Parts: sequence; structure tokens; C-alpha cells
Amino acid sequence: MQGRLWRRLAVVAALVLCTTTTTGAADKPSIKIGLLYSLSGMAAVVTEGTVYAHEIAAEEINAKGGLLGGRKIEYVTRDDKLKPGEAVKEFRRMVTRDKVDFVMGVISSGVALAVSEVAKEMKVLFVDSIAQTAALTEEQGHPYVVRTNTNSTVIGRTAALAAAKGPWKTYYFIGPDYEWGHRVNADFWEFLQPKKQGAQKMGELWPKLGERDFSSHITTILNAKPEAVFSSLWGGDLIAFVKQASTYGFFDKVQFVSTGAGDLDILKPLGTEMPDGIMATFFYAFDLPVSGKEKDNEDFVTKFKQRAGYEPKSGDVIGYISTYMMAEAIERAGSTETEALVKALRGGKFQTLLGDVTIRDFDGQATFGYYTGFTFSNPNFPFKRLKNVIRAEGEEVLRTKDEIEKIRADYQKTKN
Amino acid sequence: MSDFFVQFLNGVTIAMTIYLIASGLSLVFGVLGVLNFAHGSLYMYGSFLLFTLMRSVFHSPSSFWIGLLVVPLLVAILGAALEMGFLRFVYKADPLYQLLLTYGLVLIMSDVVKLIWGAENQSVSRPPGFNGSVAIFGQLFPSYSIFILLPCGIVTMIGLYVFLNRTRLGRIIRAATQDREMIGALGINVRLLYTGVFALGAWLGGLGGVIAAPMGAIYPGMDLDIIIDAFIVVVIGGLGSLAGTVLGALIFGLLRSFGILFVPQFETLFIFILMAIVLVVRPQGLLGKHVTSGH
Repeated sequence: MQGRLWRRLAVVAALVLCTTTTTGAADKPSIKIGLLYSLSGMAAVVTEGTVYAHEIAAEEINAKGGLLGGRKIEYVTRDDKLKPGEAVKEFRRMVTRDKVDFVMGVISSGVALAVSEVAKEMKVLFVDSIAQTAALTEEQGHPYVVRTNTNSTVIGRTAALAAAKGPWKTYYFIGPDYEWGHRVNADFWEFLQPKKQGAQKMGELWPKLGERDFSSHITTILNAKPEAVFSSLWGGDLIAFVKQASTYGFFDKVQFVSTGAGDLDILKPLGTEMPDGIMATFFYAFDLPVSGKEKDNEDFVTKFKQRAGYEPKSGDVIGYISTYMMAEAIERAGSTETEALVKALRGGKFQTLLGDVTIRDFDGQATFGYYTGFTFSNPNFPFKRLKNVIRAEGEEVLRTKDEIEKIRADYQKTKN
Repeated sequence: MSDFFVQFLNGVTIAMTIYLIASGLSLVFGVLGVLNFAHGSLYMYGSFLLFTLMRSVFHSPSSFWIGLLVVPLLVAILGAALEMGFLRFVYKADPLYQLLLTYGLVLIMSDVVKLIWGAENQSVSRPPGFNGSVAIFGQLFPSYSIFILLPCGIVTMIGLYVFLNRTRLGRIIRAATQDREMIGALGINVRLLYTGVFALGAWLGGLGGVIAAPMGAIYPGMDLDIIIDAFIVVVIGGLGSLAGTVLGALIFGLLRSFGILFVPQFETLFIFILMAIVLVVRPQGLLGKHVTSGH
């Protein structure tokens, strides 16, 4: 009888405690974070998962009592319509009308560069989460932009680092014929040469974006008989290339080194049509957690799958990590004031789901590792997974401080 | 020599895919006088419908054959509906309005695709038995291209030729390109005829979408990627001329494949140079008739 009374009292006490903590939190102003993503149009499917991951992180943080002694995270989410002009307008509106403390986003590199200019002018912090153009933190960097993701320089260089460990010396190149493709292929080649004695370029092909028929490219490459082929093709182009090349026995004759083939947007649609043994770079694989983060990763993957209905891709996990990194920075700064946040971010070390990361003080770029693995058939999944994974440390493959100073000086010269 | 032969075959393969799309575009322009910008959308629907059929309905790669029969018909029905709902009302309007209408259809149809299938890349596999390649003069060549794409292209070519030149209905259609009012005066239901021709054009687009799907990716945006190439082909060959479309497609395919072999940096340049020359020297296209006023 007495036990029951105590239990009842405990329940009442718990209830009272709950209500007081919630009302207590409501008294404190929330931390307002602007999320700027493409919520309509072609890119919407990609950013959907990122926003889910941002939300999961905020819910976890808020459930634990929020930040700065009880302040909850509140997002103001806006659509940039994948257009720089629209993004700039929304950015200004979020800052002046919605009074956000800082803005996170965006998917397009062009949009990122435009938003970054306004951030610089308004002295408001812009945290770039998905867009990877190196120019944002390299030649066009400034104090009010940081990136909680890897950048495009890392992609070609990581592939080169892994490829240099293989026996292949003669390379053929193929990439989409626009700035990104040319840049990644150049990064790969520049980085490979000093690391691989006698590496030789046999030729290069630049199909247009949206190419349907790669048969001529494939036979041209095969007739040159290279040992390896480096490719910066991505998306539908890569899918078409892989499907067509496999009918020629391409993947038995050359080692294919691909920057795009490691992520789910390629592996899932191709299913069993993706050959085994392709060397593919990737940022995140849901089933390959960083050591020591297995449990955290499993929790995140479960929560994410529940909400989204699919496994998190590289672009999705970024949302989760970005919110956590910013939460950590807010705690360290002891405020959400821009200058204090910038100080806490730059040069700060962060423990993330993907391991320890530094945001470098001279460019605001995070030092995430990047991976290369080989595709193989895993009976647990209807699509190919990756094994024999090699990790490249961020500092190993990012441009160094000297390189960045030089790029910035050159950029200033061409601008004037 | 064998390099040369393989690139020649590659060129013919490229030509066949683009021919299937361009022939429908050219047919519709030739008879209806409408430059149908939404023709690429019909091709895209062909691919996506095949995807649904193979991945969600039958769950088997061999259902490709069912798709090959059914999907073009579904796209033809969609085409007929579009003709009766929209295009029918602008035949007499300025070509600019026709272009605006069909471009509007492109936007709507692309949004509907995203609504139904999402914006991610999708893929279907080749039918069983056509995954590998065959050796031709010591060079490997995909069996799908040899045994499915080429025959489908050639049968369509011959079929269209026979239909338009050797059947009564074909003759009526050709007569309609000359004089619509006269055909009407002779007691032929021109409205029905036009719907039928547009549906046939859509059927060709859907067939192109089905044939192309196992070779590449299926994605929103494939409509615009193909329609530009199809326009180039019909401009070179001559708008409205089916023989011209065959010629244009062959030139397009061979220029692409040999361009890649000899001057890879400029692989897409030649075709645009050729188009520019054709437009200056022979604006009606290589096999096109002189543009007559007052269609």
C-alpha cells in the first residue's frame, strides 16, 4: 500500500518537473537557424533528406534541453528555387525579417557563391552544407563563410591517392565537358603524377552532359588499351556509361576509377548491373561507420530510415553533422552572436558522426576524410556495397595554406 | 580497319536511337504543321512507363518484351489525348503560339513525371539474353544494339515508308500535307486523321523511349536532352521529310562517332557546324521541300 503511494507521488513529481522544464524553456528565446535549400524543382529530391537530417539533429538536441542553458533550436526553412537571385533574396529576408542567427544551406555551387557574397556584405554567417565548389572557401573565401562538408578539390585528389597504390600506370580520362569535370580530372592527374612513377595519360574524352550513347567513347578507350580509366562522370551519365561499357567487357579489361560511383544515387538504380571491383570514391556510406561511432551511426541510420524511407546518402548525413557542429560552436561561443560564432568555428575541433574534424582558421573549410573503396556484391542488399576502403585524411588532400594564399592572390590579380 | 568498322556501327546505333525520336517529330510537323516541342516528353514517358512496368508491375527483366508492345500504345493514347485537349485548337494559330503551347506542355509533363516518379535517376536492365556482346570481325559489339535496336529501327523505317506510300490511309495522310481543305471537302474526317497522325508520332516517341531505356538512365530532363538532338536531325534532313530524317540521323550518328575517334575535344562541334552550313545553303534541309507559305 505504501509502495503504491510513493509510486503515485513519484509520477506526480515527474509530471510537475516536466511541465516546469517545458515552461522554463519556453521563456528563453529559441535559437533561430535559417535553412536555405531547393525545396521545389529538380534538386528537391536531393535536399529533402538533408532537411530531414537537420531536423533529427535538432530534435535530439532539443530533447536534451537545448543549448545555452535551455534555448531550443528552431529552423526557418526557405526555398532558393535553385536560383542565385532567389537565394540572395531569401537570405536577406531570413536575416532581416525572420531574425535568424545564421544561415545553413545550399545545394548548388552557383547559389553558394552568390549567397556567400551577401553574407560577406551583411556580415552574417553562412554555413555551406552541400555545395562543394572549392572556390567558395579558396579564392572567394572570407571570414563569414565556413563549410561543414568536404570540397571538390578533395574528390580528384583522394582518387589519385588510392589509385597511386595500385599497379596501373597508363590512364585514359573521361569526364563531363564543363568546369567541374575538367577541374576534378586535373586535380586527379596533378596529384597522381608525383606519387606514381611513370604514370602516363593516353588520352581524354569529354562527352557532353546528358550524353546518351557512349559506345564510341567506350570503343575508343578500349582500342587504346589503357590499364586504368579515370572518370568524373556522375548521375545519369555515369549510369548510362556503366550499363553500356559492361556489354563490351570494359570492366574486365581496365580498372575503372570513378568519383561518382560510390554513392547510393548510382548504386541503387544500377543494382546488380553495377560490376564488382570498380574503384569508387565516396564521402559517407551508411553501413561503413567511422570506428568508435558505430552505435551513433546505427541510431542515426535507423531514425533517418524511419523518417525518409530510405538509407541516408552523403548529402543527407551532412545535415545531421552540420547542425551538431553548429550546436557545439554555439555552446563554445556562449552566444549566437556572429563574431563570437566565427571565432568559435574557425580553428575549432569538432567530434562528429564522421570522426574528428577541424574547421581550418584560414579558409573555414572542414577537414572531413574522404574514402575510396571497391564495389562488391553484398547478400544483405539488393545493390552493390564497398570494401577494401582506404581513407584519405582531409589535411592530406585539401589545398594547403600556401596553395590557398597563392590562389587568392592570383584571383585578386585577374579580378583587378 | 576494324576500328573504323566498329565506329561505323556505333554511328549507326546512335543514328537508330535518334531516328526513332526524330521520325515522329518530323511526321507530326509534315502533316499537322506543328513543331511539337513536347515530343521529347513523350519519349520520356515511354521510358518511365517501361520502368514502372518492369520494376513495379512484373518485377522481371523479361517483361521488357511486354513493355515493347504495351508502352508505345499507352504513349500513343496520351498523345491522342494531348492532341484533342490542346493542339487541335492551335493549328491555325501563328507558329509562335504553337511553340509556346508545346513548350508549356513540356513543363507540365516534366512536373508530372517528378510528381509520380520523383527526380532521381532510374534504370531498367536489358532483357535476358541481351546483356553481353557479340564479336563482329573480331570486335565486340553489344548484342542489344545488334538484335533489338537495329532491327526495331529498320522495321520502323520500312514500316513507315510502306504505310505512307503503299496504303490508302498513307496516301490520304500525304495528301493532307498538301491541302487540308481539299481532303476535308472529299469527305474525309480531318480531325480524326490529325488525331491519328499525332498518336502515331507519339507512338514512335514512346517506342524510342522504350528502346533507349535499357541502354541508359531514366530521369526527368531526358526529354530536353533528346529533343535538341532530334531538332538538329530534322533540320539537317529537312522538316517533314521522312527520308531526310533517315539521312539526318545517319549523318548525326556517324559525325558523332568519327568525331570522337579523330578529334575528341570537339566531338559535338561538327554537328553544329554542319547544321549551320545546311541552314545557310539549304534552309529547307537536305531532302526538304521548299517552304511554301500558307499551310
